[in-house]
Amino acid sequence: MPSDGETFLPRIHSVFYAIFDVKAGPKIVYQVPEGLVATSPAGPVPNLSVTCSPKPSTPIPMECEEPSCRSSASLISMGGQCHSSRHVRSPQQRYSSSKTLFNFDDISKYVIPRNTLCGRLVICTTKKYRIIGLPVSLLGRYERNYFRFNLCFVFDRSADLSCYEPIVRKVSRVLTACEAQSMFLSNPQSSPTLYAILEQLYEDLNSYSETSIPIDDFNSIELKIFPFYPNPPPVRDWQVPLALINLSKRIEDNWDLTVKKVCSHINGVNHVSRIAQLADCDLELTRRAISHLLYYQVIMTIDIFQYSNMYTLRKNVQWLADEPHVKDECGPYVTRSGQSIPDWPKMLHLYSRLKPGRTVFEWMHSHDVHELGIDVRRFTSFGVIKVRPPNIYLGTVPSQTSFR
Amino acid sequence: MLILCRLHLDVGVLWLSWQKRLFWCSSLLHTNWLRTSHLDPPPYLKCFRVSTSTIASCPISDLAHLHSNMKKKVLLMGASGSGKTSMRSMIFSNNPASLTSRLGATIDVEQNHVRFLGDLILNLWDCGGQDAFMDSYLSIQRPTIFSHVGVMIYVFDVESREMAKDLEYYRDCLDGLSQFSKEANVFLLVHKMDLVRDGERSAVFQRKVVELEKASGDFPVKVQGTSIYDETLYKAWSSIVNTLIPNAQNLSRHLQIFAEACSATEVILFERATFLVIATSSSNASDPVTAHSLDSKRYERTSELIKAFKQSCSRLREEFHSLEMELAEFTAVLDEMTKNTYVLVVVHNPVVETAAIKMNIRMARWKFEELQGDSLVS
Amino acid sequence: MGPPQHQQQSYSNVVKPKQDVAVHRTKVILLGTRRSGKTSILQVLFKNLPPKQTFYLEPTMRVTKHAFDTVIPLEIWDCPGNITVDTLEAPLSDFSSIVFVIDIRDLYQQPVAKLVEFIVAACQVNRNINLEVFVHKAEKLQEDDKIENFRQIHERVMDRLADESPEYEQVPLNFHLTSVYDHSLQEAFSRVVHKLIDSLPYLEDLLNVFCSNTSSPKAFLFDTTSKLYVATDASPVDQATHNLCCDYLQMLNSFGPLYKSNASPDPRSGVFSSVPGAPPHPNTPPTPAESLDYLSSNLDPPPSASAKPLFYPSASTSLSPSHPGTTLTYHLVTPHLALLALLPTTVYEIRRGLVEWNVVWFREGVGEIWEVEKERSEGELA
Repeated sequence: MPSDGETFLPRIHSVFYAIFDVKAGPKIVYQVPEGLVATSPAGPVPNLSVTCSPKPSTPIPMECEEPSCRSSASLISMGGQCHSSRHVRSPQQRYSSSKTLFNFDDISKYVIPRNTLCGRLVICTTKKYRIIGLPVSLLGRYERNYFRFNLCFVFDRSADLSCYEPIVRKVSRVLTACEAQSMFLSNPQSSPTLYAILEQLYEDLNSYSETSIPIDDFNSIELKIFPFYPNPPPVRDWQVPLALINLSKRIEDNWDLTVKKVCSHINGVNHVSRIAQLADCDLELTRRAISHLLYYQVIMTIDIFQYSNMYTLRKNVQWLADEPHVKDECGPYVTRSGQSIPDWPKMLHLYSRLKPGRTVFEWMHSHDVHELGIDVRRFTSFGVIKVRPPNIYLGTVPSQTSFR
Repeated sequence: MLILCRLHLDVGVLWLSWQKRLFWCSSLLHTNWLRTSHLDPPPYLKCFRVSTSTIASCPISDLAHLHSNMKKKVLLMGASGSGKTSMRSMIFSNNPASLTSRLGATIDVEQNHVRFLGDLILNLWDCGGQDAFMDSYLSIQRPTIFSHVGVMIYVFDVESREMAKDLEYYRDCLDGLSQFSKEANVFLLVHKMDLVRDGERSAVFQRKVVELEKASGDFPVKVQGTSIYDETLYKAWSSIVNTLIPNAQNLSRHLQIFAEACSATEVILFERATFLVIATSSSNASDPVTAHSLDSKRYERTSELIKAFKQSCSRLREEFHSLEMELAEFTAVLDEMTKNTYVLVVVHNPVVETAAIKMNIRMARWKFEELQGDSLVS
Repeated sequence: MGPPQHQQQSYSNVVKPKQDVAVHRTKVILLGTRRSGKTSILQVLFKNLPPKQTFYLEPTMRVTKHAFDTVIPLEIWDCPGNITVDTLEAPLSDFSSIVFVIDIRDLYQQPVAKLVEFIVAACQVNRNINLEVFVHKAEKLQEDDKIENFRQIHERVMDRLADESPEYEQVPLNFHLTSVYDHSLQEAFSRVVHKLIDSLPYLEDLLNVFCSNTSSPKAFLFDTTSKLYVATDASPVDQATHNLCCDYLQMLNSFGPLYKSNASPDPRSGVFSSVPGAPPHPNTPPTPAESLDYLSSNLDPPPSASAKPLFYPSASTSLSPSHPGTTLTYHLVTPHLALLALLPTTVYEIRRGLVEWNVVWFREGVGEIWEVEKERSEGELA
């Protein structure tokens, strides 16, 4: 896991707890810091946009074992937004409670919504802020048969909330359980403790990205924010994992045994089923180990190198040409030891000669690549790592198209 | 023991006699028919003639006006927990009163489109009565809520402990109406009358009427006491929907003609789904009903009874279709009139047969379909 | 054939009651602890009290006797909760049935002990007495708890009885789950009444014949006011159908007074009386001369034997307009009894005359049984 994960996390501006009051309607019971969300009608109507999770329960990454399909695009878009959210936030804003963030009445419809939205993650966006919550409607012996509540977090409008989704779900789940067991929320005696919980959520999550709040004898809120990664695509037996960091340095004793064994055979040459064979591991377990490594983005997968492969260049090779660190890295990596390193323009020329319809074998022959002392496998995999040109198999059309 | 044996034998004899009489009996049916038609001037023929002649004599009024009012917006407002949604679920969703306690609070506005009488669509706005919602209706949502209103029904809980606040909101709502829909009819329902003890009911109601009329100022309002546990709910709602039906008078006139043709004391037209009274044959004082001085609650009681029976039918996954009765007191037929109405024909003349009434209903059917179509679609 | 026989026995050792009414009434006693719902049961069944209103009933302080006339005349005793075998003003042997009402939430000693005490006392005087237990107020519990409590009460009573003496294990106790808020009370009480009617098998035979001849899947003979069914055909009673019939009866009962003409005298001037000047009604029986000659030669003039034709109220409602639909018919057969039958709509529409013809004969049969019962209950006093 990358060590700088925490800095990517968006900052919580406010935490509030709202219920449906049978007389007054939707109302905020507690909020931390106080007074940030205006509860009396004032100010103009902001533009609202609301999104809602498609299903009541999508798998939560922090608990999820099985890779499930998420678009790879979201990873990239997340990165961008995380950066911007960090820039936007100004530290002065934190305790300027004289200024309210927004008006509760304008968003109350989405904080305490109708039944159809209850049990789903609801994200509501005002002009400047984004409110995430999971409204819950509990059927039971209440005055009007239902008890509705929602614990919401307020972020910047531009914040990426994917890492908070599991947090919101879990908080809501724990509170629902408490209410179902002991009327924790609806009982006027116990509900004031909720203020302390909000306070701790606000402070701990912002400062430490994790918290542990005991609620009663049976329930507690245990949270740790993980930076959000999308689930990796399924691992195929013919794919070749390639380490992006020095894996052998990272291996620790308490790691999973399979992962440890598998790691030692990842060298950019062995494909998955061969790794399984070499490491003497079950093929399915090997796939899982690799997909875990993929999830944490410490490896990537490339295709098996064959002389019959075809490669082509993509637009961003232009950017590559001017990048000094690429220039420096490329030579030593692709040249066989003991050979002199060809100059950069020569190598760019060789890259540019890779064309669809021309196999690597043909390309080698027409440019005397072997004589230049270049390891062709390394040459192509370097190009794939840095540029990721789509590989063209004979007779098949590549499906992956988006890479900027 | 001797007696019992003899009885047992009788059963056998009974059975035999049925077998013997099979043939004779089937001819009896036909003679019946002849008999009724001879006695009275043949009722169905009479009806038939009337229907044809009345087509021309009933001009369709105000076509343009009717057309624009096909969809009627009905606001259902009142303090939280006053019973708005309970009412709605009983009248329009056929839920029994016992299940209304399971309903939850209404969040914001729940809009329903109820097809009522063919092309007349009630656009029912059930407005949650919590303070936050009320404040929003009166401020941000004001134009949305109060424009194009056909009817506003404001529900008061008879036992409300915050009457001053309720009245304040009510006055604000009236302001909203007078700003955006001056034409709207306002009905005030003093609900949950069943909570008041029997003896005090009328006194309590009168007090409320005075209070509400004072609060309404110049706005013409109609106050009614209701309860979901008796027929008053149907009475109130019948009178409400009656104001929305553009040709109630016209329908009533035709029902009168139809009643005469059937030698019926009274003919009542109900809406099919809600079983609310749409029109009756007895609108003026000089009709036969006053002579019989029938129970004044009969319309709403009928709605209530039929609705209750429909519910018990649906519990058996059956669907109520028609009913005919030859009781000691009267003869009556309840049958489909048009696609979306039911008709109840009550006859006190003992010689009139249910079959003849059914026949008449069949004959009159197309005429009423046309009437309904004319006035609503134009 | 159990009920008629032991009924006969109980008649034999009846101590003649001192009564003003000149009929012998079969006695049923309602027992149970305070607030178990005895008076509610009676009021709902026989006084048409809306179930919601039972909440306001005053506790019964002394024994009250309710007369109830159906096929046989009944007298139902409503007792205060604290009554014991000794304080009861009549010996237990006077009663044909004991109905013990127990609140479904009372799983405790006292009501069960009291019930057992009465059972033991009753068995000592009359082994053939009908013992019924109404596990009442079923509406207070959820579906699962309801069944569980019902089972537990049943078990405890049986255990306690076995503790008393092993001979009581064989006592035929009937348990019913009842509630005033649905028709389970009517159904349970109907079953109590069935055991008291000696002529039940004959009524049932009549219904069976009627059903097979009209291809009716189910027919009931209902007491119109109490909505108890006096008899039904041999096919099993489906609770939903029974509920529908009760609701139907209730609706018809309510419709009657609703459109009753107050001004002119009733055109039919009451049920079972002649309509002057009117032609014979199709529903009236055929001139009974021929049939009655051999059917009822030794009876008092049957109700239909008067010279003028009679009017019998009837009604029918068709359910589900699609074919094959069902029609629910109602025919009054005696002043208090009505035949309710489910018929295929096709049969009713095409062969209505036949159906009505069958009803006429059914009515004759019931009328005769009724007469015999009446004769006997009056005769027993003489």
